[in-house]
Amino acid sequence: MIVDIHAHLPRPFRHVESVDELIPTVAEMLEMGQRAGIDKQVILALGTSRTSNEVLKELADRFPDQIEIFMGGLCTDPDCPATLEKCVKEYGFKGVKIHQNLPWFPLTGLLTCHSLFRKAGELDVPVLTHSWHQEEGLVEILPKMHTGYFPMVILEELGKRYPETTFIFAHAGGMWVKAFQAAKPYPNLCFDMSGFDPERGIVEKAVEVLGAERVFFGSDVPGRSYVAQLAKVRYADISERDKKLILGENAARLLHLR
Amino acid sequence: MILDMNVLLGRWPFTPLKYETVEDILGLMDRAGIDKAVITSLNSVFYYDAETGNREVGKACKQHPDRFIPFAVINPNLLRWKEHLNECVEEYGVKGIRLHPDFHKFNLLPDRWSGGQVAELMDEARRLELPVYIQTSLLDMRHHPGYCFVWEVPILEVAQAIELYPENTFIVGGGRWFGSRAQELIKQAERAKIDNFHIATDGLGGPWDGVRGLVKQIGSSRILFSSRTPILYSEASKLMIEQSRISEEDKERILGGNAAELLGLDA
Repeated sequence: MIVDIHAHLPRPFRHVESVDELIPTVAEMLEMGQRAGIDKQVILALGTSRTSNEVLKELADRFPDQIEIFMGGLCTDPDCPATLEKCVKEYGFKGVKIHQNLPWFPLTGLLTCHSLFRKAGELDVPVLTHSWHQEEGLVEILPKMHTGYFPMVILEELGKRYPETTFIFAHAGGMWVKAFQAAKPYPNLCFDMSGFDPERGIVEKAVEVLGAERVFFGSDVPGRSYVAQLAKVRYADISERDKKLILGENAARLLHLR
Repeated sequence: MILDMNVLLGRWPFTPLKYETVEDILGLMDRAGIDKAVITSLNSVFYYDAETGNREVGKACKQHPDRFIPFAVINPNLLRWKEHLNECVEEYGVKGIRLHPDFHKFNLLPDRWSGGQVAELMDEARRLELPVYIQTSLLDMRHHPGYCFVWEVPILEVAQAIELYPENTFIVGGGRWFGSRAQELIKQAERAKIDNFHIATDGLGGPWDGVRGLVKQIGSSRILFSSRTPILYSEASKLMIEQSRISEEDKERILGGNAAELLGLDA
């Protein structure tokens, strides 16, 4: 089974009147994923409102065999742990996604999300967070994304403080070499390979440093192509066993999929 | 025939890619089902002189004329680039010029440093009937090591150069969200009413069927399959085309027909 652990909805859905408006585009997106060989797609919320969670839940109900869902996590909301509990227990959400843009939340503030991370560990669901560590001197490339700045010390602290919570850092952590090294001592820290160009060597290095069990396939559609992102794993110089783990078995185990 | 417009021979200085020799590259092409490739030198991007790398590529093409087609990396900041280009054409049968204005630090537009040389280079390309391949970047800038950060070539500069030299034929490719750069290029081309350029596919990356979107916009005849082997996985860009919801005829054109026509080869 191939599981894409990092997908988004094809258009902002905060303002849709009805889920029906989204169905044709979502169906098209899922069809392209299936053509590429993807069995299940994990749709990550980019919004944090109750509405966005309910929209996701309804979509998952419409495509029960193809979609799994992660709630949008808002670290500054004191009710967020309770919302996560409800989403997981009542709606079947499989995890929580933290993004720096909605609403404005610099990732340097991640260590304030104590109660949410503890709750995720208690519920046995992963926390998937946007992460993009940039080397010194490169930060000014993306001034608009400064809230996504992600120092490695935070990654290490998450590993130390919340050993019972599984974290998946998106996009190989940005500057991947440093991110893999920082995460290595903490078995609860994992990475998805979504979003960047299909550069040779990154998946290979992740497997070498962390082991394949801590690496996940993700596409970051609709901004990216399913097949180009899949090629990173399918054509990496790693064993067939490791490819299977990365492409789906790790996600199936972590999300308790059948 | 599957013809890849962007394969590189040489050493990638930032991390070992394991595929640095002619045999390595041929192995990757075989695995991906690529019959023939335009090949340029990575060493010509990073060595002090471009000549050494171009000669390495020229020799590889002489050994494997059925698999490789040489383009010469020209750095107009280096003295005697014109003599070297002519040597590449006469000695190795070079079929095009490859420019890396980002690493080689020149402006495609007339400026006080290299602009005059670029104008002369375009004249020479026309005289020799060689297309000019502008690589706006080799790698997502955000993955550049901090000690060697190089800004990509602004796509507006590329668009203006294409407009400035309407008699030249260009190929444009790049990294990191090149799909949105291509959109900007198309927008500028519509404004200037120019179509003397082709788009290389290796940097497109998205959205989920970006190839179909491009075909709808500009047709299939100006899109060229390119993989950026070995920096990127050779299969990625090819699969984007093969799995796109475009006609088989369009796929054949993009995967090799257009390139064969551009380079005067039998398809």
